[in-house]
Amino acid sequence: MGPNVLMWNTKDITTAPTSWSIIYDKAYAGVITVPDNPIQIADAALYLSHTKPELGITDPYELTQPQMDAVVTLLKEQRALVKKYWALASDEVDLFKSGDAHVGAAWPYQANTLRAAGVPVQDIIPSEGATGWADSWMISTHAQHPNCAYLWINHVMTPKVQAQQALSFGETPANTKACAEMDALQPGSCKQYHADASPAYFSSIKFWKTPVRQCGNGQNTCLDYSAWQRAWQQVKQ
Amino acid sequence: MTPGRKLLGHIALLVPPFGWLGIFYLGSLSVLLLSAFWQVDAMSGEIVRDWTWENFRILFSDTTYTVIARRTTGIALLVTVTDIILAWPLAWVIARKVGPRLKLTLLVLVALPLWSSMLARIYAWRLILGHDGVLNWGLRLVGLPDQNVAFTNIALWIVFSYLWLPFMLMPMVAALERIPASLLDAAGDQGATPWQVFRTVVFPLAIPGMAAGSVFTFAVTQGDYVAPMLVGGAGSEFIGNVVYSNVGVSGNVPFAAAFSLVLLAMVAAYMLLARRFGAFDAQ
Repeated sequence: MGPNVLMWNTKDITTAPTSWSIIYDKAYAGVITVPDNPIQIADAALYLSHTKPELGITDPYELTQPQMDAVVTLLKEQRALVKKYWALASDEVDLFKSGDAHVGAAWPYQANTLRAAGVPVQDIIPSEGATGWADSWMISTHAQHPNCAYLWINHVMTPKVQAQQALSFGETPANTKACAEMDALQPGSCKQYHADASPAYFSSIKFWKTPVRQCGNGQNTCLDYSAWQRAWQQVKQ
Repeated sequence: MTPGRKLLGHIALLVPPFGWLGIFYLGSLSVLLLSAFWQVDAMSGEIVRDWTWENFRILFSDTTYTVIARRTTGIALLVTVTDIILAWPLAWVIARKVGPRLKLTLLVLVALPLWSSMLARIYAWRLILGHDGVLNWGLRLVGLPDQNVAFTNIALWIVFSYLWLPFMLMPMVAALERIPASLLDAAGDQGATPWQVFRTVVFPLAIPGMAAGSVFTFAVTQGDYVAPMLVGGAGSEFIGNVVYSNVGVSGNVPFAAAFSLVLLAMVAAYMLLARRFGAFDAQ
């Protein structure tokens, strides 16, 4: 698992940003990149929940039509500033390598890859917080050998494998016991990838969930994922 | 051999290609046609097989899709015109000005890029047009300001024009080769200037070649989604990209099928137009 971070090139942008406002700022027109995914709407909703509290956004994945309209308006303004919506992590890495993008929304993986390639980038969770992702293993109901699948899942949950996977992808392991293994493999990496982080850190991340019609408050006025997809297509045009 | 056996032989020869065409091509097309009138259940993601015009209603009422269809067609037209202009001088030289050995060499050189992967060639253009790419490196060398061509519709136009140029060139060479030299001589003897010869003799006779080439440049550009994905920027979506994301990200095959049908109708209309200009009468 991991957050969707704000990443920037420290050579092009010398004052470290602290807010997501930078990816909606006209001063950076043409050097911004954000993910090409309907769930990106949640990032804009999270930002608006801080800058426009009067919209009443409490959960960035539970948006009513008026709230979605405000988010789409913001994202359409952003489109004019976006160099490219990245679909693959390697796309964003290329954009930062070639100098076409200076700032954008990213995963820690891209930041690690770019730093390893000698591109001066920095990444943070801005003051508004961040959305995040948590990957999981699944077993098909048609699996011929479910016991083998369970053995595999037991294996990938062990601290050592968790540590290796966390370092390979630049993510936070689900098993907190992986911390010592991570530091053994790469000193300081446990802290770097938040494997030892407090519950407060994880509660600052709004993890991805599928938008459904039922809002958290018992109302059925929220928009489902298909509406999010249509809204995203309208944003991108 | 008896006539009956001969007939059986003919049928045996025709069954494999027509079977292939019927099952895999027309079969999948008709499934496409059908599913365009279905919908996806928002909760379960299952396809609901109830007849509805809803997909088409969204396509024609939401300006998003009109903008995307217009962009797709506009760039396809621009690429076609660009390739016609770029192909003319080279096609003329290959068809009428050089000996057979040089002609073969030139034709091989034109076809050479087609031997490599299209993806590799598109990625090569990213390296050329990128901010720190070959183009800006050259501009800086001669003291000119940087260009921001990468990930724009201009980049898309350049890359498409490059990709399909050989497909415009080949039919134009064929068309120009077929013009009898006697016609050009006769026009000259009657006192026509070179420009008049071009305008009244060569150009009209080359129209079927340009029409045949445009079937590739126009129709293939219209259906593409790879180049917009790789070298396009914000605001470079093609019809193909909407289809792609509706199948991939959204799992909404019926809506993708509906937009595909619109695309199919546009390409078919263009084919009919190209046929009127002799695109398919050549040889």
